Amino acid sequence: MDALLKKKLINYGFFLGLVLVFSAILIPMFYFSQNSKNKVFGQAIQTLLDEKLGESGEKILINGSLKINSSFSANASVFALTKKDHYAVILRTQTLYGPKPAVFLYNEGNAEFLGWALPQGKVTPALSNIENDINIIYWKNKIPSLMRKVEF
Amino acid sequence: MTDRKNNAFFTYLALTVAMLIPVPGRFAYGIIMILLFNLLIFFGSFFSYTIYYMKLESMKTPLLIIFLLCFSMLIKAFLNFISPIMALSLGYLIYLPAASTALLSYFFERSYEDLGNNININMTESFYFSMFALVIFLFRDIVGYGTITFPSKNGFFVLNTLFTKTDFSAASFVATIPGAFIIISLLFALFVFFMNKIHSIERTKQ
Repeated sequence: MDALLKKKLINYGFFLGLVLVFSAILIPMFYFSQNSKNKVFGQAIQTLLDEKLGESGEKILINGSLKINSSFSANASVFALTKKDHYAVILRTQTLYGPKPAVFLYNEGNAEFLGWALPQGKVTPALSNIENDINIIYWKNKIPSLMRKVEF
Repeated sequence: MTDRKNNAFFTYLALTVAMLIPVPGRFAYGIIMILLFNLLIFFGSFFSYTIYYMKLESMKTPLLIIFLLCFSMLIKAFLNFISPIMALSLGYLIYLPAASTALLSYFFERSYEDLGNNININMTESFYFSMFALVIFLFRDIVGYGTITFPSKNGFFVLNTLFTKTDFSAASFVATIPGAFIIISLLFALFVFFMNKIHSIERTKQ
């Protein structure tokens, strides 16, 4: 084996080894982190549901997570609710204050903004004035097409 | 070495654009990003030495980029375990420090004959930037949001401050992305102003 071929094999071997080592760590981590994600997102959505719908006396509970058949699943999660044909969607939205996790309620082709999944301190009033927020309007229109990729 | 000192200013600019501007101005995010940044520098230094040791320097740049991005993915996967909501909020921002030219053109530019010395230099420099970044994140959190936040399993652990009840909504401007631009631009302008003053005083003395 000549020296050039040997050097090339070492180079490609090192590169392949690097990708394999990272894949071997990442794939199980991704798989096992799903439970943690579902639990924490479910709790955050439940807190918002209790807070926003509590005054009307309506009690809606989380009824398990649903699978999204799209690469977008890295940026969003969908949960079934105990109220018939109602779903909660948590996703990352861009705001003037940087990216924020937003929760939407979805029912029969319509999505409504429910609130933010993290406490926003003093900027909560500014962030809650969302009737004309272009990002929220975008997601309200986009969520029905996202829901078509969900496994019910 | 003088070139390195001159480059430090531009490195701060590049890192600021990658880390301080797009990330929400909360202390909790600052802690995560700074931890990620220091881990990238530390393990990146080791990896650079491995490249030098294995005589693969012709492939140094692509190998380093792949290593830094894979390492960032690893941190994101770990963050999904410890704080999934923060991982969701940060999204692709986790990969920005690794993609920043500052790391490749400043921290890992030298040859790596002396691993210990290089780690020492890199970690000292990343420590200075970390302190600068943490102060900015803390300032934006306290003044803009009126809180001090720490990472927790369910998102944030929130501490209220004197600013929480203050009814001065204009202060929340510093929490916005334009607000971050203005604060950092002012700091850099002040820095350049004082550096010029110091240089002119030194020249007069000579």
